[in-house]
Amino acid sequence: MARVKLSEYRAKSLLVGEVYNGVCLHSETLEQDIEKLDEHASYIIKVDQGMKKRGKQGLLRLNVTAPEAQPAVQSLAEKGFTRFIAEPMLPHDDSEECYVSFERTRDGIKIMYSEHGGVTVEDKPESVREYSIDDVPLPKLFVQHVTEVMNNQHMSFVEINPLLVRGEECLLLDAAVLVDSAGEYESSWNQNDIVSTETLSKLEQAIKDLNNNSPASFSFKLLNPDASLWMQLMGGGACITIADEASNQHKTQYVAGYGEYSGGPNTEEIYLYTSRVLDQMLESRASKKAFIIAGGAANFSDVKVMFKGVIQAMKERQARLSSQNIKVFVRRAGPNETEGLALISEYLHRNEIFGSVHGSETVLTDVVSEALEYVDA
Amino acid sequence: MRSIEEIRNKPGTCLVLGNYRPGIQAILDFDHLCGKEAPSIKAIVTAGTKFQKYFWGKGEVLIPCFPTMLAAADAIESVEWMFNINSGRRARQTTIEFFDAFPSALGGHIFAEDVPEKHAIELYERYQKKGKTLVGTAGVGLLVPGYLKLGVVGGADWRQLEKNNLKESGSVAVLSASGGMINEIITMVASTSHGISFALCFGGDRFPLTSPKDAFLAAQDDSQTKHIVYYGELGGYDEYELVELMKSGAVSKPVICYISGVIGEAFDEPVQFGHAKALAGNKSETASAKRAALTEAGAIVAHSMKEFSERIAGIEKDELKEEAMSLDGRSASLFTSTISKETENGYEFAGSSLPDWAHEGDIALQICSALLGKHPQSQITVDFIRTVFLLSVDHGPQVSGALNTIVTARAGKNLVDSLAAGLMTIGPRFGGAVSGAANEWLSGVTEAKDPAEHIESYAKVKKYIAGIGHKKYRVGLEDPRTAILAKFSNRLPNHRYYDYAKAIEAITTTKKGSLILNVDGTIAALMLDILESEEHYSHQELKELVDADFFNALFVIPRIVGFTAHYLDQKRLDEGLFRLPDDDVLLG
Repeated sequence: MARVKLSEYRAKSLLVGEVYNGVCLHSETLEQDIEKLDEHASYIIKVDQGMKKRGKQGLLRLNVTAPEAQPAVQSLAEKGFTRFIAEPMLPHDDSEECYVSFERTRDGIKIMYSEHGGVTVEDKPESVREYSIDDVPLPKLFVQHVTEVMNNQHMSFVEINPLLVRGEECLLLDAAVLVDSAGEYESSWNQNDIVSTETLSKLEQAIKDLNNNSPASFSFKLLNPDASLWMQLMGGGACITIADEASNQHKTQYVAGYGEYSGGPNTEEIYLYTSRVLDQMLESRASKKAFIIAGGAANFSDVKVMFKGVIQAMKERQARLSSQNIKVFVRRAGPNETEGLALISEYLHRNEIFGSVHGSETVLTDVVSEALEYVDA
Repeated sequence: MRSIEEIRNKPGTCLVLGNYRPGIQAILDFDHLCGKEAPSIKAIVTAGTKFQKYFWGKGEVLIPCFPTMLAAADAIESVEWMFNINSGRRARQTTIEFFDAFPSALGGHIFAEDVPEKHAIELYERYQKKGKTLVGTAGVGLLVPGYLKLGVVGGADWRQLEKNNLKESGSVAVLSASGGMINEIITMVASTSHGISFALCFGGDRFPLTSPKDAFLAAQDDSQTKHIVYYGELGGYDEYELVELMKSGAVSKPVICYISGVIGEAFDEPVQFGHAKALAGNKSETASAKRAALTEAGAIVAHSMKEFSERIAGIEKDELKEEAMSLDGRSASLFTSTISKETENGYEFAGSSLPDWAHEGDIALQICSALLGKHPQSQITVDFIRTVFLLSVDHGPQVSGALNTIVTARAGKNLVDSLAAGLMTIGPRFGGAVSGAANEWLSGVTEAKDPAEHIESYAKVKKYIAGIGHKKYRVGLEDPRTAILAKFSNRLPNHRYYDYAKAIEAITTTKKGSLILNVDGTIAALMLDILESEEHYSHQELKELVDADFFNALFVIPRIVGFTAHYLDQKRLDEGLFRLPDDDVLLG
């Protein structure tokens, strides 16, 4: 359902085919992986986690021989990375480098090309121009091949920079590829080939694991662990709209992060999700904290089922929620709205952590204003 | 895309691809609330069931279900819309199948969220560009008050639909990328005394089939629409197309909008929000940049939801009829029956009241109607069934069923017990061969089996073919019952099943004179021919009758008369308990 980054190793394996001579190195299987290197060759070793500008960030090691590979990878792994790629060094002149990108658009594949490549193209952005498949000054077979692979492998964006053209031969020095995650079932890549530039916090990793093991979807992005506004949101569009409210009021600094779930999670999953978020919230050093549970009017998700899971997680942490003076603000609508809201309202009142509880009659962002008033007071 | 005006002038019939009860029920509730006389959903393409029961108002209605698109196309002449609720993987293929089967359909809504980009673009090229109106992928569809609800847009529960004033056109077009937010906004519009002119949800995917630009132009073009309310998100460049439309004057109606996603600008790395498109890869894709561009183009851009709702409340009010309707207190029935019911005029059975049946005076017609579940179209059908009954009533006291009835009667049991004992005997070896024979002739003809090979496949495993062979009659000694039945073939324009059965007989009788087409086999073959040529049953319908044991009913019903007669006969004779003489049992 979204464009995600493919590892450079997999991207090149697909684009170059069998003759590709790069080697994938992974921290966990490093010893076996290094055995695949040619003893007589000299390699470039790169972090393969979707980062851009690796040269500037010191995420490359040049002219590495097989015996030197282990310490070279180790020095990159110390920066917190786990995936690497080793490719034979390809001696060339900087002036040979050019830039090309292919992007899937509604009107077909859009090609951007510049005769300058590598870091030079960044200094000359005006040299990058749009071309059609027929008029881009690159070998025809190569262009056809790339677009074919894009279609067969559900690639949405392919950027090759630098690209070396020697006669009819095109050599891919660096490649960045975005694939359409919805096309995985028809493609040769899989989840293991998807990389992320971000390093996940413990909470984010836990939520990602929950997401990977459920038909429903869950996410959480931590922004500021010591912030006062913690949100648990539901429903694609409603989530952003609610999270926006603090920003609309120029109070983004209050927002701890952005988390959402959808797809009708069950009570158990909501219990796990809420537990993780609450645990992180209890660690926050903000002096006053509010927990917002909010979403639009659900079409099918049962509101009562959801609050059962929420209450279970709160119960286990009630003493700490109370001692930290946390208040809970709720806005949710949908099937079993009345029963669900009554359930949470009663629980919050009984434990004296009631902030507010609203249903479909209230504009969905009011709950954020109320929470902001509480933490600001 | 089609103009909204054009949609208002059509009945809005719809075929549902896939099964999604709440979504389908919501559409039927909308139809009913709008005062439509019949459900807009004509059928559902889903396997495993022939009908599904839904509420229609406070009552219930059966919606036909078909296992394949082709079967649906065979049964339904035309539909205007498709509501496709297949998964993302199946969305492309099923949509193509739909338009292949219904080429003149107007369009449809694709509900799935995870349709690959490549497939969305292909569908856009194939259909949207050629004048069809496809809404999605993802999102909740298209709603034109009073006329069309294609998707969950407007609500999934009749209370929401009622509250949202969806019965008649208002003046506000609601256009949104998000399915949840479109419903929030419709509620905002309705709760401040406005009606919507139409509502369209593009869905949050990267390449919506109907783009915001298309929807804005449709709103501009629609005479009912006076105001456009728009909800957009960070990511993509669609809003810049809207800016162009407003700047060039192509869209001149007032626009109130909200663009969400400013929270995304607080993160260092671009965040992928819930919708596939909701990721701002560069500055112009951010919510702030879009808000600024739309403001410059003359739209009223709300900076909070509160302001958005106040702006909507400020729109000139629509005059709407207040006509509340309640569907409270309805409950689903446990089972369905179409055979009989109690009406104001007494009992109705198989389509007519009992007094009418009495007046008609033909029990064969009554039984025939009841067995088929509808009044037969041809007199031949009734005549045939009458003849079968007259010929099958009893074949002597020696046969297993009659014997069991007699033994039970002599044991002092009552009518029902004795009759049951006889009926329970009917099975594969006694009386139950009509269904078996029907199965042979139906599969033989439809699979175009060579009669000789058909016979060979049985000979190999040393099995009998149902409907072939008799103990007493043989070649040269014709069964007078089959002779009478055979005459029916002269009254039929086509009799391919009977021909097939006769072709089998022509071969088997060369092997053995007694392997003739017997009464069971003849009844089965001619009944198939009559149902096909006189009652216009499809192969699928015939197959269902075979599977349901329909053909054996032609034996069971008259034989009840025979067994009852034997029971009464034994009561009259009263010979006492029957015990087999010792000589008749071999004690091994």
